[in-house]
Amino acid sequence: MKLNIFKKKAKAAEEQQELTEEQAAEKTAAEELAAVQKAKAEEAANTAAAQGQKGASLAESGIKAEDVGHAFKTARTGASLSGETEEERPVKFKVSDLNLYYGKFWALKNINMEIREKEITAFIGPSGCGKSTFLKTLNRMNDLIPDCKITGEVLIDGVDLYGKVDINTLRKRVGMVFQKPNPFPMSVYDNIAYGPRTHGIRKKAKLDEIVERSLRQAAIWDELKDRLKKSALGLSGGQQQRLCIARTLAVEPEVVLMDEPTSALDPISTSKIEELAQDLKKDYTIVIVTHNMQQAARISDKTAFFLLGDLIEYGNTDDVFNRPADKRTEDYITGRFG
Amino acid sequence: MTRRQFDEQLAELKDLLTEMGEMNCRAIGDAATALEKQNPSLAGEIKNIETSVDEKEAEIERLCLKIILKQQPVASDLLFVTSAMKMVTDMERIADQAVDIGELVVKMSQLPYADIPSEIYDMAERVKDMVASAVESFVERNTELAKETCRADDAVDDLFDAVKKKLTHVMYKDIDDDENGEQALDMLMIAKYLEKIGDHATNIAEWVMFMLTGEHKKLN
Repeated sequence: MKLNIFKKKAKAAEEQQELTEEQAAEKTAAEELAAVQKAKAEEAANTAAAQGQKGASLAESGIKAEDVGHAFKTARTGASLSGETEEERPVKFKVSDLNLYYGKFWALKNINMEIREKEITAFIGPSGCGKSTFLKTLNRMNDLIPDCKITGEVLIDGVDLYGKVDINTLRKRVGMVFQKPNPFPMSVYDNIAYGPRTHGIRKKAKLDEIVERSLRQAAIWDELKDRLKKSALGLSGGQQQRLCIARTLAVEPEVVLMDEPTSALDPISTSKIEELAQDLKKDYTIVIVTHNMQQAARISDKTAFFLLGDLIEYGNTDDVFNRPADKRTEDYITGRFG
Repeated sequence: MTRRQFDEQLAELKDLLTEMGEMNCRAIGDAATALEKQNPSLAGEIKNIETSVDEKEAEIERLCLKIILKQQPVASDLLFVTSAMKMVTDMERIADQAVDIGELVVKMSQLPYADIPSEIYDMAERVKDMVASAVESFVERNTELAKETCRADDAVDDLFDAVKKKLTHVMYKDIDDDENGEQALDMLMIAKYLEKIGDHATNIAEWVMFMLTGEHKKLN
């Protein structure tokens, strides 16, 4: 009996070893690909400059080179991350003294926070506490709201997000998934290919590859591989939401923001999205707003509690849910708030 | 947001634990008295307390599971429910050991005690106080009292060593006297049960500390 147990353990260890080798191979491939893409993008930029094309397209090519360069950097950091502890993950967003006003309403008050790479960070708090507003500051979705004034600083990889940043590039780097699934009224395939097409990818083979990769990453490939040409509107709510996540992943973002992504879904779809989020954090930084505190406790590494525009407490999820430092956090998470 | 039903369930859990703690104190108190006064009828009654303790343990476990299932406690509520589930195990063992002492007291009631180390009565008194203060530290949410309970175990261990030494001497001295030798062995068993009760009281106090601080440390 004992022997069998040992055999099983040894086999599991072997599989783990193989997996690690496979991962290493993938990483190397990703680095090579990134290097090739970077060279190509730089070449395109040079050609565009030589041909004296319009400023806009020149800028676009320039951005692409920078983007791919960043992806390259990320891949390398990822490789070196394997042995590091949670605390040592690099900072993705650094928020300093952030204030946000909707007209006269002071919606976010002196927020200071660091969001780390390749972790799941959950924002919790009662309705109107500012958590969704704060989420939107991370990819400048508040720009669309009139009378919205922001002071303070939000850095992404050390670069001021509210400085001279191309907003399209930013939203490509920082994707977003909303509460209500919002597939475009077109086929599954076109939903996923939409983003890459707007970023200039035209080759069918390349698009096919992106569609499959994105759907696989969003754990929905097997369900949809035979329905790629069917309308996305015919999918169930849970499938639509995973499709939207796949659509976000298609442009290879670095960060995925999720604003209550499961509040409109049934429990099974909810667990699928939760498991997906856990899988995705290997490659992406995930920030999720949720009203479901058990969800925050289940899937996140860090939890931030907001109340009336203030960041009350921010720390390791285990600590926040086991022994919160602030009485208001305790009252909220134990359901005795108000 | 209020959680009236949840708060009522937590209050009920606290009441049940307090009742179980009181039963423990009674069991160990009766064992100590029966030992000292050589009172077999009182010793025999400890079994009834133990039966109630077992029932209380099952009731508390059921309530904890119900709370976890229905209320999904977090933070201090989770610490409270978790420590309750751990504490009842120690409380149940304390009652068992009180019964074991009672059974030996009944067995030893046929003959007067000979050469009994007085430290054993001191041990019984001290572990009774330890159980009482562990329960009180829980009821009062008192970290200092919990720590004090843990510290008190050192004296009990020292007393056990002293009892063991004296009883060893008795056994060597009365090596040809079967009755005295057996009585000394029974006494040693009683001392060991008392020493274990001290350990369980320490465990309870450690779970009280866990409930109040979120950290479970060995305090003795």
